Amino acid sequence: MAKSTTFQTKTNSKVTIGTEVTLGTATAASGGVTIEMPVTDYSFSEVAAHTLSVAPFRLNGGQAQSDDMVRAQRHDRMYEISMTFMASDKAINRICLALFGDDDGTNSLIGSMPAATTYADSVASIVPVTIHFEDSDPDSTAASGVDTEFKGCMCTSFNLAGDIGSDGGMVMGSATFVTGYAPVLAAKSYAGGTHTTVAQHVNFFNVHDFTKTEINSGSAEDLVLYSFELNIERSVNRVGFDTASNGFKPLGYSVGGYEVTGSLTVKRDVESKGAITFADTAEPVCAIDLDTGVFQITAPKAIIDTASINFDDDGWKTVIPFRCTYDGASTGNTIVSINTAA
Amino acid sequence: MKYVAKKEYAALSDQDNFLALGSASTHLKLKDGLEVELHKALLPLPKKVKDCLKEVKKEGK
Repeated sequence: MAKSTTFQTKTNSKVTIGTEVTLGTATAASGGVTIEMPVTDYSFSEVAAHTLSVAPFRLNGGQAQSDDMVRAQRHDRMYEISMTFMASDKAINRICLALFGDDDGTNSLIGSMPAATTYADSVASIVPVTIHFEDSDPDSTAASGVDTEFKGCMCTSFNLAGDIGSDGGMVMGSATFVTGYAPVLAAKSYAGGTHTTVAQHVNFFNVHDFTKTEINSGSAEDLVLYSFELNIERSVNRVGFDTASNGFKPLGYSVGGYEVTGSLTVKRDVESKGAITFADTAEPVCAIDLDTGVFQITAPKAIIDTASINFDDDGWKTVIPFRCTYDGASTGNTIVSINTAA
Repeated sequence: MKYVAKKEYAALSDQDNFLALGSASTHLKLKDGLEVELHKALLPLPKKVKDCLKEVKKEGK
């Protein structure tokens, strides 16, 4: 067989997230709700994502491995998909919807979340998504695009970060998804329904535009912010497997709790000192508020973790790590809110 | 304007309640009997949902 002349490149591939109607049924090519993400980078697992399971050696002769003793394990495989993207309002909203069910522009993660702790195959839910990579199949050619589609994807983490000294100050997002369903390699084009193209992402956010960068632990400390990072993570485990059809598809997922952490890197001054200084008898609890007037991250009950100093040539900086919690007075209270609309 | 859920809200399926509208936080607060303020992105509400909400009147001065 002659060497193939086909190849794939990142620049040739749109990345689309589609809302599923039922877990494990890919978003329809026509009439679904889909959004092309403004990605700058991405990756996904190769089709053969199994692991090998190996039996122990027999003792006393025949200490080798036969093909009976090594098996491909597919019943527990999880494909991983990750993407880095420019944080537009639409992109942030879409990831928040996948991670904690909010895309209303306030994107509030509250104490009583998640709304569901299990998801079952073929049962209606708008939380799982289909992720589609255009022209990414090894058979794909310039003349005939063949795509890779991951269905039944669950979001496990969302990172938002911005640095005034890099990426033009753009706030960047990165999200990780997992799925227990084998990818489908086939050509697909989205038509009809609600389809958001990359060109329709027009509201991007930038660290240069913050008008408020504040920690309030009794008094408002006005910080000179160099960079920030916010991470929301949860675990997703596959449950069961079906050998009868569709290549060891899972019977469902169970999801774990949310961990919300982050950090601010700020000029080391009297304000940053105030932000991290607490009496030994007090918990280091504060409210964090980063606001451009449109894009706003608020964490009403953040708890300051171990702070450190960056001894940089352009001035010392304080790194303030934090963990976001909700006010225990009510599970309806907000852990973190990522506003994307004024 | 603030709203609370009438008891009928609990009977709405997940395809009709605030989960389907992309606001799990609103859904969970209503289920817990809390007041919610609706973001403009959620408006206008589908009739099915609107009928299950009760406006919280401001106390008279």
